[in-house]
Amino acid sequence: MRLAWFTPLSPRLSGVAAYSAGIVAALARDSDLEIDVYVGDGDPAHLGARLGSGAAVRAAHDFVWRRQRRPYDLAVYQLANAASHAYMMGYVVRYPGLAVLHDTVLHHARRGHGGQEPSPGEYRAELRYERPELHDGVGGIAGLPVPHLLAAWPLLRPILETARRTAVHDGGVADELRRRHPGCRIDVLPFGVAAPDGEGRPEPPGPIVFAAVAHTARVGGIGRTLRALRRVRRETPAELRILSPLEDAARLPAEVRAAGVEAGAVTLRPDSLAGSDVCVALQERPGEVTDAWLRCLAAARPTIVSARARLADVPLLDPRSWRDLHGGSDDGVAVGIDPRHEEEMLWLAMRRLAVDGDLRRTLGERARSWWEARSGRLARMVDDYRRVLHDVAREPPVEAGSPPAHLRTDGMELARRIADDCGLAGDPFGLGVEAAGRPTREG
Amino acid sequence: MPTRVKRIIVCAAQVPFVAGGAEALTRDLVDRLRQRGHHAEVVALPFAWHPRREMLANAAAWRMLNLRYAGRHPVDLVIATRFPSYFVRHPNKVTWLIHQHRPAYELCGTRYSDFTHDAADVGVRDSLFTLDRRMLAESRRIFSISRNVAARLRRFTGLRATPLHHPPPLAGRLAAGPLGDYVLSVGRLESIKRVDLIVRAMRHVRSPLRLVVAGDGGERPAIERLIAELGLGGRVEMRRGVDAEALVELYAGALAVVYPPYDEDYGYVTLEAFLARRPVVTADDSGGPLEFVTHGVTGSVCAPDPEALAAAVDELAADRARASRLGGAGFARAVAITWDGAIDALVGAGDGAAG
Repeated sequence: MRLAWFTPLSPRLSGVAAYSAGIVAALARDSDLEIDVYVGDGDPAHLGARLGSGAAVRAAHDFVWRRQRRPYDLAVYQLANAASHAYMMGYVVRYPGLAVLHDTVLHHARRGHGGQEPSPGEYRAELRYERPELHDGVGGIAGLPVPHLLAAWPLLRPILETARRTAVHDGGVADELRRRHPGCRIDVLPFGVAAPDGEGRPEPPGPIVFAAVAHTARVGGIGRTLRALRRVRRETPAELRILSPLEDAARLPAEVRAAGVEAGAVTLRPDSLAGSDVCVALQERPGEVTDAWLRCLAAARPTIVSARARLADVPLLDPRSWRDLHGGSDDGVAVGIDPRHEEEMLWLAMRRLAVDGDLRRTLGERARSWWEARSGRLARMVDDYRRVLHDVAREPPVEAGSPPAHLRTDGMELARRIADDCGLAGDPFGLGVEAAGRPTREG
Repeated sequence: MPTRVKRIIVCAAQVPFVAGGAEALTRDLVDRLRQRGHHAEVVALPFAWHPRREMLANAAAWRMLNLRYAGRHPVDLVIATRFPSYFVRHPNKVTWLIHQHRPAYELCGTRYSDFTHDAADVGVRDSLFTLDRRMLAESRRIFSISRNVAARLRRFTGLRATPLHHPPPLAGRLAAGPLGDYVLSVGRLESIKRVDLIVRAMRHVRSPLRLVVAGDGGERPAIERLIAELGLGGRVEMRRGVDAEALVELYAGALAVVYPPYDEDYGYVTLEAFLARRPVVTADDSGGPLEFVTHGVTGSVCAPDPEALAAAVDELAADRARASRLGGAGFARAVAITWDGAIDALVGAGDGAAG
């Protein structure tokens, strides 16, 4: 089976890059799969060397002619709400495939990427399509840089309606999507990560090191952790490492200053848990799903997470009482933060974990055990992927929805209008009833 | 005289107010066909690549033409050249491909193309690739002006083309003079010709050479600014409105010709330099020139960076006998390319299927 796999790769700024590299490498070992990885920018040869798997890395610009020369059985899109994923919007609706959603809001990526953002008219059409019931009210928000307002228009509908299948990594997220978009086929691929290698951490001789991972580490979202760090540092030596690549690293010093933390106490160190003692993995929105927290568990790190509905089956400790957050047994695998009391609970959690080595050890051991006992292993996720890929490729394509026309334009509209004017029945190239260049599905 | 006189139409896509190698080719081709006794005419349609969403309507215009008859007389052969002229319908269509719409193909993703990942751009490219393949495949035979163009066609469409070299416009007028104290840059001043690279190289050239730039185009102001910024006003001379006679003189008096365009289709400049017995300094990603420039035999092939170009120029300046020898070897290569072979192939490919 031939797959076209759309994803950013490291060093692009996306948490999906490392995830994709792991999955692609594992899948490429399957002799039945031939994978072309399509990236939006960067030198494919260089990225391919870094990827180091059996997959070929290619520029997304090459996808169109390559699929014409030799069609793919399925296109796979790793979609997330970051600029490095924006290029996929040009392909995902035109060439429907398996859409893997790492976020249930894609609006920020759609809006903010130079050269690929929609025109004002196209943007309005997408907003209307997303929320037709609010049709009369959307015109006014087009120019508003209000992140939370943008989240109310996730810009998912064209993808969900045209995808041959959609996959998410969380059952709760899948349920919510099914509720909002009845009729869409949504699979759950439980997250898995590889066993950590060389990321152990002996008991610290120096300051305690907190690691901000995934969305916690976003500039703009790091402030709450910095403020908690400042309070912790009044009592205990502590540092913060940011383990996610930042899209706007230049703004970080200002954020650190604004939080009242000394510059030397915060460092950027993407992609390595080595040397960190406690992980902070707060979630910005319920629909965001990341493997960063799982990696922390696998590495036997105590973690502090947002107590969202999607973690309802995970035993979490309440840092105000150090009892189970949901009233169960007290053998929690992580510390849970109620988003309504985030500032206070985060500080309490960091304060205790900074000084209580026994608790850190206990939570780390439970975290590792939980990861081992549950579905968090990479091999399991790879098996699930393989099953879904084969299922989708075997199925006949379903009839697509009717997304905004500009997402499927083929550049022949003017030629057709002229042909119509001349009584040529919209076939200006004289190709007969089969109009060239009509959007087609993979497979 | 030919065994049978034919009516032949050469199809040309013309961007208004722009003249370059493609226009020279169609003009010379018609002249040569007429010299063989054929009735030959150019049919040109204006081509606009902007806005991109309307580009295919321009292509469709070719589809709507009737070129099977000139008055009541059948047209025996049409020779299509560059995109979108090969969209023309004719039972005896032969394509001599200059290039497809390069920004949608090999230039896409480089700084020489403004196609993005936007859905509309992706849609245009998808349609274009489909149509190109079908329109070109209608040809009784596909030739290309170079091996480079044939390789691109094969890569992107799977279609095969036979490379068919032809002499440059100044062939027959060029002659060698004494090796001079300047290196020469010839060509339209467009970013893809990378004249800025040559100017930057002059900062690193140690020998007391000047650079003479002959050509006009949209990049002239930027190049002039660059010359000023680098303080090279005394070493780089920009010539404007150079006619054929002046150009022949410039070739004749140069030490060498520096020609490092990005992925050139063919590159008349290379052959013109050789016909003036001048070595050519080019880059390893320059495309067409590499079909003629062999490093150390007819010129220098180096990395596309200023220091490498400068080193190649300095080598030639330091050993003028070698420069002369390389130019002589280039002459032997270029003089073997004639119009006869091209005309025979093009007209012969259309034999036996008169309209």
